Amino acid sequence: MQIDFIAILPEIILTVTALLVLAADLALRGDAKQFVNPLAGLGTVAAIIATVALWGSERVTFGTMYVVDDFAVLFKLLFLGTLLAILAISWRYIAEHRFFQGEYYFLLLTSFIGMLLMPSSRDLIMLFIALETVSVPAFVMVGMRKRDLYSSESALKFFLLGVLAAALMLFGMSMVYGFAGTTDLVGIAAAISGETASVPLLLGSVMLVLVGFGFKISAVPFHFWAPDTYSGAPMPVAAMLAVASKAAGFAGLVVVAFIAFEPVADVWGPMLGVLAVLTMTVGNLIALQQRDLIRLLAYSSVAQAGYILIPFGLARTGPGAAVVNAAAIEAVVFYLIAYAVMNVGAFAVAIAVERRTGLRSIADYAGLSGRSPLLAMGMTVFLLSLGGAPLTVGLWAKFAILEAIAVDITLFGIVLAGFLVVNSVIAFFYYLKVVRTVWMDEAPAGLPQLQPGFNLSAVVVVLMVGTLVLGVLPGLVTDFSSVISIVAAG
Amino acid sequence: MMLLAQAAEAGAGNTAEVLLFWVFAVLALGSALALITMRNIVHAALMLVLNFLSIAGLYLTLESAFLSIIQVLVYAGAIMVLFLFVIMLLGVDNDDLLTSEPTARVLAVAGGALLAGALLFAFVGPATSPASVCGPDAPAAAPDQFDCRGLAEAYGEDDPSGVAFVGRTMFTRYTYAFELSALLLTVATIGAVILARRQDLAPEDEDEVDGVPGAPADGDDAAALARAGLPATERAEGGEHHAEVGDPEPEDHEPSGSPDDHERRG
Amino acid sequence: MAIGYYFIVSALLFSIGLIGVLLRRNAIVLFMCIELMLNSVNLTLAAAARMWGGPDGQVFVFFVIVVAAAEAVVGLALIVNLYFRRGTLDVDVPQLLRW
Repeated sequence: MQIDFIAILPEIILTVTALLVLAADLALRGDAKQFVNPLAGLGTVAAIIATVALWGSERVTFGTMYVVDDFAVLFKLLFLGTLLAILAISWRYIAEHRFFQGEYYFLLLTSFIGMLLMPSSRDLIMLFIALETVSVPAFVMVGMRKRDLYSSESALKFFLLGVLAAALMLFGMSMVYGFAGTTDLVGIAAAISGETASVPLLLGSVMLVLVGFGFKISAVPFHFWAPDTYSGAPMPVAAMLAVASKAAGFAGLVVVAFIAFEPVADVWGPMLGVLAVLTMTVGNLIALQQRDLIRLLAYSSVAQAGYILIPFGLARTGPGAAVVNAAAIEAVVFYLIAYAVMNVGAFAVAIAVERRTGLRSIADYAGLSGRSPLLAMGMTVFLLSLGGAPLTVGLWAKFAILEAIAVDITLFGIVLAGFLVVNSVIAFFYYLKVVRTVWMDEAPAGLPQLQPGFNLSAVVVVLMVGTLVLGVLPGLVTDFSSVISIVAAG
Repeated sequence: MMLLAQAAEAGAGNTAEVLLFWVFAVLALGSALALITMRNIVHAALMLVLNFLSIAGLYLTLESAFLSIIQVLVYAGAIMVLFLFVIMLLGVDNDDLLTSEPTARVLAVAGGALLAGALLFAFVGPATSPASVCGPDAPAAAPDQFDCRGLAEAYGEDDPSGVAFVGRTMFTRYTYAFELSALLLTVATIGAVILARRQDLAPEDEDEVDGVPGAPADGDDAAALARAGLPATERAEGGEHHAEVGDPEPEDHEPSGSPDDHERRG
Repeated sequence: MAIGYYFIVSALLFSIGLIGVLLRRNAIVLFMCIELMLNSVNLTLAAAARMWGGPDGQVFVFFVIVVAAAEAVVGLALIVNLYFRRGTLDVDVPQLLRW
């Protein structure tokens, strides 16, 4: 068997970088330890170059198990870009808090290796291993602030729920294998199309598999872990969980739902649609009552997961399904890219504010405009974009979903669109509340000027520019996301 | 042992297989029930060992000798020893922690029974008829029945245990997954070292070490409450706690000499 | 032996494990119940592999066991860490179960 090493080059580069980071951490002493961060950054840049080189080609290796097509490359670039941003916002934070630096970056890189695998996997076994490679380092990283009781508790909660979700998903996978006789996703689709598709047990197993990914994307009712875990974890880790880990869950969900379970899309489509409605409504309603910015961002990210689930609700089988499903996948990919840009930005600002002062309640953001105009601008742009204001990428992301609904208008589609609009309005309440606090309220006396370091400022500026530029010219991304065609591969 | 050897070779309607199946199935189910009802954690863990061993026996009757060995070595050997070691280390051998609310108990049992009933309803019938017996001697299966092909044919003459059969697939199609699992085990090792290590004093801990025992926990709770979004009074306290995150100091992995005794109070 | 009996045993084991997860509050016992569920998954996979006469199921079991080992190491480290901080393994303390 020939192995296509070019196809797996990004993962190889990241693995080598991760091991180098671990070795460098042993060699370096004291303050010098923080220089493992640029080392990891260099590896990430190299991996980005290797990934960009894969654009436009379609490579299949390890039997039919691993496929690198444009869909996968787009997701890989999304993950690697997020990794770069998270490395930048981690540097000072991790160095100041004196976590285990080398180990932290090693775990971060391994978690991202798992994410890179997710959109390329075409086999249940590979998907499972990829999902665990994302999760296990995350379990450790969440527990890294181990002197904090709250952090330890939330890490254990994250772990137990994560393992439970994995067990449920595995039970589903084992029964799907029992029905199909293969773990190959395309083979599963071939095996379950036809009359066996109506067997209740098979449909139950499909649901169980989706539960596993539902946990990763923190969809209601599997979202319990998100707020506690985000606020208990070191903040760059929270950013990673909220953005990259969630995007990885969606990548896996797209792959497994639209390739393996495509023949039963009539069943899981409406169910995921209902889940989308639940997720965004519950997420937004709870977010309204939050007073802590991280918890607010956590519930907001739950709600955002609901928006991204809407296109899944449109999926169907039968004639004309290919067009609808392709539009749905496109909307998911575009929304995820937009979401990554604005949410990493919001976390970057939160880190900049919290790092020196340890303040993270929304009231502590009062008068941020006076303490640091840049951060205040950034927070405003990111939050407005998350809400979907004009001139930001968030608006186009919501349009992309509406566009997918409009491809073939159904009653269920209209209901979903209605919920999307109503929820966007609700979400503006709490986003604008923070923005008002930032600009209108007086800063409490005695708080210092904020001077975010070069890295943080760079991330905030780059992401802010990205949010606005994409808000004016969304074609920069949609040109790429429209060429992906995963359904044809299945 | 004779029985086990016979079962490993297996065959349709093999008496050894039937006998061993019932022995191990009853053992597995009984030990599982004991696991969830026993109050003593050490006993529960031992029941889990018994459960793993009987599942290893079931693998033998399923013609999967390789899995049986792995199950005994990794699960019953390594993982359960780790469990028992942790239980002994923490000294929590007698813990009476069942869910306190009766309604929750009833709901849990009802939910589990419902799941079991649904699964049984799906399996009994199509999968338990004589047609679903493994091997060439079984009668032909109807379209709605499970047809068991058996592994003897796939293994071939020169590989009766099936190790080569599994290995060939594992190191061709699943090479990548195999390499990843190596990475995963590295992650687990490093993670365990980080989490279990006790002498990594971060700046935010210094107040706790010098302070009176008991105080640190309070501080932590206040910080936790602050993050949970409670009103300003509690929040101020939490804020102070976090504000003590000071300037970076050189990271030092050597034991710093000051004993973090507050950790041992548990 | 009809293959369905193996599926029945594993379905029962999975249900028992799930009941255990819902019933017990001790973190270690809870984790042991999840291990029980993983084992029932493995039994289903091995039985299905025999049913289809293919290798995928057995390979899958191997990977589940490896991952379970990795998770056990991390999970027990988290449990030990929390126990030294708090002195109890009860997961029903409001902080942890505040859904």
